Amino acid sequence: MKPIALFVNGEVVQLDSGTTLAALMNERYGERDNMAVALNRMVVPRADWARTELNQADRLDVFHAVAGG
Amino acid sequence: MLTIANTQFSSRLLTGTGKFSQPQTMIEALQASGTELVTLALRRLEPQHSDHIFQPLSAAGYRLLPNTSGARSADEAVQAARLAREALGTHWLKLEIHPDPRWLMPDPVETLAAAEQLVREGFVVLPYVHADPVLCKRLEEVGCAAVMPLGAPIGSNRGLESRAFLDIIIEQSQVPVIVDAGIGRPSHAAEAMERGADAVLVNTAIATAADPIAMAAAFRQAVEAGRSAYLAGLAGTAASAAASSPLTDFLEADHELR
Repeated sequence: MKPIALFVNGEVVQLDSGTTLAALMNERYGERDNMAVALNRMVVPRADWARTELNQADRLDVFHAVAGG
Repeated sequence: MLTIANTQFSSRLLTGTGKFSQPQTMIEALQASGTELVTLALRRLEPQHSDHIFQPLSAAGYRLLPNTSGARSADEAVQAARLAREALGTHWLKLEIHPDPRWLMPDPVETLAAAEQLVREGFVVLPYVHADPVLCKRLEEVGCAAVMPLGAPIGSNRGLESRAFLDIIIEQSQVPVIVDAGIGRPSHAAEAMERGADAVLVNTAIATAADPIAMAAAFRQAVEAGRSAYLAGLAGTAASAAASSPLTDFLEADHELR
């Protein structure tokens, strides 16, 4: 497996190539609902995470709800 | 009943969830306020983060209104809206775009552009704007479900400094007018409702009160009183005195009796 490097919320993360978005999210954030992910600025619906393979230099932005007015 | 996008609400008090010292205080204050629609924000998630605000709010049955705070342009706000819809499973949105961190004044040009785009994408858009009657009308025309003009700068607790323009907005609007920002006291909320606003949104004034739960209840009463007063039809004002009791020559008449 060749490693790839990508950005998650601006942080460089190393992964095996072929890693899916679902696997990354599970490893990094665990069993958690109510998150939203943009891959290279496009929102990826949760139903598509398992079939979304990550690539070298991808940019992931992960968000969740916080208190606010 | 307050109706926004064909959804009915019996409470005319919308509340924000920010600035509470404890999550439990927030939950109890929301309950005391009688609110049915609460705002949330969206931020980047750190792996260690454990503050789960969504679950308790969702479990309590509140309709959620995510905001786009942090967005400084229409493009950023549209992106925030899509993320909010995915994260929270709602297409309701409080659209706010304020590039200036000092005064947090909403950008009217970017807000109108974003509203147009988001309505096209199927969002129920409630834009936070300055108390600008022309802008509010334009936002209504592009399909916003309500307008949210400010009373005074966010978090300033200064009340309805924009009242003359709020009156025009209220008179002209075909969509609900929700006065947002600046409401610092229950009397400010009551005044907004007396003037004919459809609802108010309060956050700082409740969250940072000495007793947020009691203050939430006070706001609930003020909003109800203000709405009842509006429906009852306020009496007019006059420059000179007008007696409330009949003006008869009471003392003279008494004298004659002797």
